[in-house]
Amino acid sequence: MRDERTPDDFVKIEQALKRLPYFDPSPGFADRVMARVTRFQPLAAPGSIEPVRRVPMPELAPQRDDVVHYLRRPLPVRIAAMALVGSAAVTMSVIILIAAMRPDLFVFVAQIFGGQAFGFLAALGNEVAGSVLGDAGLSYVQAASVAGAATIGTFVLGAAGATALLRAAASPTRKAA
Amino acid sequence: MHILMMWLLAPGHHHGAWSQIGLAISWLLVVLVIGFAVISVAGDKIEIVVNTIRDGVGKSIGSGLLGHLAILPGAVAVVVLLAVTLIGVLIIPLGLVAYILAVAGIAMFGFIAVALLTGAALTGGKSRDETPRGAMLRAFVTGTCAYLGLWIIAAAFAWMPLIGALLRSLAAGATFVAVTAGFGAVLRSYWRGDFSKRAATG
Repeated sequence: MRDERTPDDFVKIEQALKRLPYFDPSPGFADRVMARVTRFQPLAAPGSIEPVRRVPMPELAPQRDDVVHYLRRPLPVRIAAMALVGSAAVTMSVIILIAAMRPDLFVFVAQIFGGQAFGFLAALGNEVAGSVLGDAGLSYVQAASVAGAATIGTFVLGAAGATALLRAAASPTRKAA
Repeated sequence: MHILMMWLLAPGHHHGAWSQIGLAISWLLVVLVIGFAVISVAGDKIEIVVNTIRDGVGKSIGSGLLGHLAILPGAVAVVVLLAVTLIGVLIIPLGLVAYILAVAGIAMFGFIAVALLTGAALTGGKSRDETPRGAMLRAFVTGTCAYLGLWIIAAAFAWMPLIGALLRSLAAGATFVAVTAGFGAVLRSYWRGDFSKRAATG
C-alpha cells in the first residue's frame, strides 16, 4: 500500500501538535493505575528486597551422603552392602564382647604382635636408610662419627636448599610473572 | 611416601659407579615418561596442585609429613577394615597392593607438580613456547633434571667413599622435600575440594 501524503501534510500535523497544551499526570496516577492491575508477585521495594532462594538443581544436589541414595540401588548391590556392613558390625561386636570379658587375651596378643611390629618398623627403617643414604652413608651414621654427622648435615642441607628453592619459586613475584 | 619414592629413585645397593649412573638415568627417563603422560592427560589437575604449593610451601611440607606418618596406619586400617568384613579377608593382598599403588601414584603426581614449579622457576619464565602445555613440559623436564641430576652426580662420585655418601645424602634431602611437598599438596588439594571444584566449573 502506497502512502499518498505529501511533506506539506506533515507540516500541518506538526503545527497541530504544537498547538496542544502541555500536560502531565496528576500525583499518584501511576499508583492508581497499578492498583487495578493484578500482580502475581510482590513488587520489590527498597528495604524489602528478599534474595531469591536458590534451589539446587537435581543433578547438582549431593546424593552420595544420603542414605536414600543407597536404598535406591539395585537389590544385589543392597544385599552385598548389607552383608559387608552386617558382617563388620557382628565382628566388631564380638571383638568388643571378648575384650570386655577377656582383657588378658588382648594383652597377650598385643605383646606378641607389638614386639613383631617394632621389629618390622626397625627393619623397614634400616632398609630405607640404607637405600637412600647408601651403604657407606648408613655405616657413617651408625658409627656416630664425624662423617656420620656430615652425612646427616648434608641431608639437612639438601632439604633446606630444596625448601628455599620451592619458596622462591612460589613467591608472589614469580606468581605474577 | 618419601620412603617409597626415594627407595624407587635411589640407585639402591648396586655397586659400581657406572651401574648406579645407569640406574639413575633410567629412573630419570621413567619419571619423564610418566610425567609427559600425566601432564598430557591431567594437566589441569597438575596446575591445581602447583597452585596449592604456591599457596603455602610450608603447609604443603607439613601436610606431606603428616601424610607420611599416616601411610603405615593407613595400611593397617585397610587390612583391619577388610578383615572385619569377613568377605574382604580374601582380598587383603589385593587391597594392600591397591593401597600401595594409590600412595605411590599420589607421590608421583605431587613430585611432577613440584618438578614443574621448580623448573618454571629455573627457566625464569622464558616464553619460548607457543602453547601453555609446551611451557609446562619444558618446565617439567627442567625440574626433573634438576632433582634427578643430583642423583646422577652422586652416582658419578660413588667411587669416592665420603664424597659420594655426602652427595647422595644431599640428593636424598632435596628429593625428600620435593616428594613431601608434592605429596602434601595433593592431599591438601583433595582436602580443600579443589579437584571437585574444578570438575564442577569445567
